Amino acid sequence: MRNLLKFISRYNYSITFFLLFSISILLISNESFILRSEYFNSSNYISGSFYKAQNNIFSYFSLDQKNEKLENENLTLINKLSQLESKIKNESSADRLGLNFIKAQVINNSLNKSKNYITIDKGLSHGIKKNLGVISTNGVIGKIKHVSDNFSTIISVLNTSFFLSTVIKETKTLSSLNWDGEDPKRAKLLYVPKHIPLEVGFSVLTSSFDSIFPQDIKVGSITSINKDVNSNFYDIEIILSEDFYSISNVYVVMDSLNDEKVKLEMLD
Amino acid sequence: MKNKLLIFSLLIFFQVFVLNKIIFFDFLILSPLIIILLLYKYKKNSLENLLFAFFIGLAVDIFNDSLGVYSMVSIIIVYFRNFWILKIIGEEKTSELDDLSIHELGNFQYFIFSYPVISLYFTLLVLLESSSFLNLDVLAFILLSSSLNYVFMLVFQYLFLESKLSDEWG
Repeated sequence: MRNLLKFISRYNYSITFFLLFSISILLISNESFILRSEYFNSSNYISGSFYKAQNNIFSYFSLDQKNEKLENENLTLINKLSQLESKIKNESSADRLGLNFIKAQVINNSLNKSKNYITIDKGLSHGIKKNLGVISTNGVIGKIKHVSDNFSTIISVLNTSFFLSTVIKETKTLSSLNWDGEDPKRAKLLYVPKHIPLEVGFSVLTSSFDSIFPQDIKVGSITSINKDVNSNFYDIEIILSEDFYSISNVYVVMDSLNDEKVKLEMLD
Repeated sequence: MKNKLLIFSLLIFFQVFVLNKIIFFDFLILSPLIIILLLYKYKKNSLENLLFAFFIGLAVDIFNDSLGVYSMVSIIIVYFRNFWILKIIGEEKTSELDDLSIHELGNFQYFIFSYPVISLYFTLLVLLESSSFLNLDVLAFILLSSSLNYVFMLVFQYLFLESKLSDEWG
């Protein structure tokens, strides 16, 4: 015991270094580490408030661009509304859609890391929960990762650990989208078998199979198709429909029928 | 002490809210955190040095949603800094220093001391934050960003450490 204490007091500097080093590794490697989910991210009150204040200042200087963007978004929404209205007429009940959207403002957004996150100004008090999908008028943004009372962080599509269930519109082929950490405007489309006839320009939409996003939300379009000799699947690159450099308004998707669907799927 | 805290806080604020979002010409980033880590008072085998580095890195991580990355980089940098300064000027001379600034070490010794530490800082950041492996682009990024931050650090020291503040970094 005495020798142990002697050893510790002699090497306390190196021991402290390795202890702090190990804690850092734990924080990096273990995504479900308890601290990560509660306070140690930008959805906590202090950093969230700072980002909100910063966003208020910066957004004042870009009002012109935002106005123009909102006008475009309005136009897109009007088009979508008319499409939806005609779709609803064909449904037996409008309630079957079961979707609500909560509008939120992006107050922080990172692009230059391999694991990017977005912070928004809505949280638990606005009805937001973990794992809800987030979209914009241009396409998919990500899904809610952490929530505090007034803020939430989103695991962005530009995050190498984020996978999105997608479908190729023209061929109805199921696939999976993942960002490779390279270009923030492009992502990879995975698990598309080589026998499917594909062309550059085909649209990629959400499939709704992941129970996070509604069906047919635009994700992007195919820009290159390569056949890897050693694989049964194509190597496909798509251009994302959302420009992550300039996102400001997003919509959190609340699917009231989702819980029922997930519970049913979990039954034996 | 108050001035020192104020400058630390301002540098961190600048890092988190402005510079973390900007990559100049696709190859350059400015990171005031390295200034704090290099200029923080030196004590041989000081636990305070390590804990300070860990918590200041953690503070950046929280705002940056990169939990663990900056805290790990910061403790490695401070550990390496404390080892490297002993190798360069020896234990006896190190104990006479008030701080690890260019005014204390001189131009040449300061370059030999700080440039490898800054380069290590950016190498670790690239490896941990971008998950990139070393290639020509990454090497160019490390070299250019290290040089920019070295110049930034010199300017910072000439502007702030020669005046009244110089007594307080010790």
